[in-house]
Amino acid sequence: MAIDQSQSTTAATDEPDRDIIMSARNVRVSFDMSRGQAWVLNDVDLDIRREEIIAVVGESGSGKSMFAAALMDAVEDPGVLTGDITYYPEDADDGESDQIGTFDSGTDDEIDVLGMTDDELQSFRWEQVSMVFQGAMNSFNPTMKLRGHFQETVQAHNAVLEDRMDHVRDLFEALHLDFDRVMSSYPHELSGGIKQRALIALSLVLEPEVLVMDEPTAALDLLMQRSIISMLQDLRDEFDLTIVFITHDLPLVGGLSDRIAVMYAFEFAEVGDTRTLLKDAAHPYTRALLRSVPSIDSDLDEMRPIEGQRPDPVNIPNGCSFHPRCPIADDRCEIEDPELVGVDDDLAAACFYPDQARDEIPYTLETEQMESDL
Amino acid sequence: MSADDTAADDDDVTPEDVTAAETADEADATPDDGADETDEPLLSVEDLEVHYRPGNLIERYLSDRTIRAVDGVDFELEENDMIVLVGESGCGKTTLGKAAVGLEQPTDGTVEYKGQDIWDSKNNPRNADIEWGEIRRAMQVIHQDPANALNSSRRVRSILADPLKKYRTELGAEEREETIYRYLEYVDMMPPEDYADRYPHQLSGGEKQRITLGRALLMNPDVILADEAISALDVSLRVGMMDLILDLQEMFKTSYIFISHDLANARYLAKQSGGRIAVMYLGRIVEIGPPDEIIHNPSHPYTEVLRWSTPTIDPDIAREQMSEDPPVRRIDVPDPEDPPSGCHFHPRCQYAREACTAEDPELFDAGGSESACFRALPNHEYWDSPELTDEDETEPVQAGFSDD
Repeated sequence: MAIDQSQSTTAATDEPDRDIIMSARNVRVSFDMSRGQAWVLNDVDLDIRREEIIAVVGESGSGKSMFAAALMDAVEDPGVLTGDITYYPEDADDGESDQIGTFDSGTDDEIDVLGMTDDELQSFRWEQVSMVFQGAMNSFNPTMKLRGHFQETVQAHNAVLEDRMDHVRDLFEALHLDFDRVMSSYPHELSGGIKQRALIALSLVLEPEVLVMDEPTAALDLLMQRSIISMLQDLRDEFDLTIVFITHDLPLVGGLSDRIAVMYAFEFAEVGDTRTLLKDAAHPYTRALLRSVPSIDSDLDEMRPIEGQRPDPVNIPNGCSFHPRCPIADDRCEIEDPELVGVDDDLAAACFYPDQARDEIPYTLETEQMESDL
Repeated sequence: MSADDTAADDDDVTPEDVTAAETADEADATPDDGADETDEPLLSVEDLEVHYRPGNLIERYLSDRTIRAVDGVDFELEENDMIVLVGESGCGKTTLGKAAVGLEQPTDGTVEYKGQDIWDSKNNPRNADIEWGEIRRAMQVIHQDPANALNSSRRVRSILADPLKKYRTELGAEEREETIYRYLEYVDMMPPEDYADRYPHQLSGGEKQRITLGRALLMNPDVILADEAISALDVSLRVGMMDLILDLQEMFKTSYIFISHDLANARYLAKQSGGRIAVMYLGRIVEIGPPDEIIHNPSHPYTEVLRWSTPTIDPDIAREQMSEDPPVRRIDVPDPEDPPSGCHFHPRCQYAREACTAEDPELFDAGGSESACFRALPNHEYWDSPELTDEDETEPVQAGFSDD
């Protein structure tokens, strides 16, 4: 599935666009299973723009976590990752920049992530692209104080924690953490919310450009979840970050992200500006999904589940992978696989009939009117 | 069993007939089942407390630490009623649910089923109007993870035959089979003959959860405790499961205690069933009422917090809300082992005043809902007492968005 070039930016061409920080092209991940080959990422393309917050939204088993792993070449064996993932470092021409750590981008203005050696990868992760996993607050070493974790991470990248202190203090402040208390605590002395925020600080200690977060708030209390979401926007602004936020929770990202990429059956069904995509989605799956998720104040009468089941990775339907569950699918959808095509400004959907989808699959975000509302 | 046989043969049978027939059977089986006719609520929970002693045997013996998982809760459940317990993890909603259906013995307080104290029935069976076994049958549970609730080495048919073999001993093999098929149809598993022969691993998550719902309904219960029963399902299927529960509630007139951490889903269930939402905080119900009141006109400050924490899907409103500070003084939850004095919520509450640290509010009538907050009382001394400042707290605010 290739992105329509008129819609997307010109990232795939020889001249890299300064607005793009990472691009994925024809990325596939497959596993050999006794039942056959399972595609858990099926030829996906995506451009990630510099300093944006992009939400990758999908249900469980849609391939969203696999996409996150692929971005850092971290797909675990026996998964086989193919395709191109390119990283465009900032100001590559400077030669000697204020680079911390061991990663040397040299004079290249584009870096082939999948072609790196293990050593290169090791410094690329943390220094350029960093990752926070779901429930990762439980990955702290229980016998080591938090300061030790920061020390160890910085040393592994040939840097000195003392030089990084000002930066760490800034991070702690942005995340509403008490520096002295948290640094001198063992992990078990801290609550889940504090640990998760400390982990976000740790992942940013080497000033990476990109932060990939896989369900970073899923194991937390509602209030903490919502608070962290608010902090992420401040973090992005203060540290010029690009954030890839992976979640199954569509309402969670409406106020956070600049763009949303919806995954279904191991590929992107729809990619676009958050507001446009939520207000008037063009892909039948996105529309059906929006119709199936009751939100806190929307009208409830129109709620419908999506009929049918998600596809088996060994046996992805031919043609459009959503066609067995799609109310507007016809013969063409059963044979031909639609590519992501621009529908509106900054909205691309992998569907042959976006207009029909908009006409025939209604959903509303409208809030219900209450007399008791103040 | 003739009534039931006809029911099985007739496709258009209304489940009321089935239920009526089965209730009649039950009445036969338990002749002293006279409490049915009284005006008692179906389930009445009074002053319920469940306190745990943490640690191993010796630690428990040596220390007097207690965790107040449920700390003084009252509520009543009528027939064909729905109450949705919402709250954050650790607020005691699962413990309360378990205690309410007799799976957990409370350390204090009573649970009455049709006027019969259920633990009294277990401990003094001779004086009991309703037998313990009958109470256990009448209250069923659906758990969060259906994969762990079904025996993976048995077919659906034999999983569903268990409750019938235990409580409907009068059924012959053929009648049992017919009943199983009928209930499989109720939970939308068509064709039932096909699903009856499957093993759990041959079912999707949603189908497994429907089997556990069918299994619970086979006991012809009066109350079903559904503990996060939709949380393990795909987002796009949750509405379907909720709709099925609502349809079957209409058919069987079962009452539900539904536990959820998600206010949006709680609203859906409570609104579509005409039920109530009960908001829990540190072992107590702090506000209970119809969903419209809870969502749109919350009376308790903690309900406001939950409301703020549940994002709106409309991107324009969501973006606006993004810049709002949380309506609390600190975001971290206090230790349930050592709950704050007075109102448990006061250290985080944005409206807290001195009066809140001294006295513990009970549930007051707050216009549409009941709320455990002095602000519901126009003449309470709260209004004259000075505002709390963070200096009054023994612990510093470490992670709050304190007003600095």
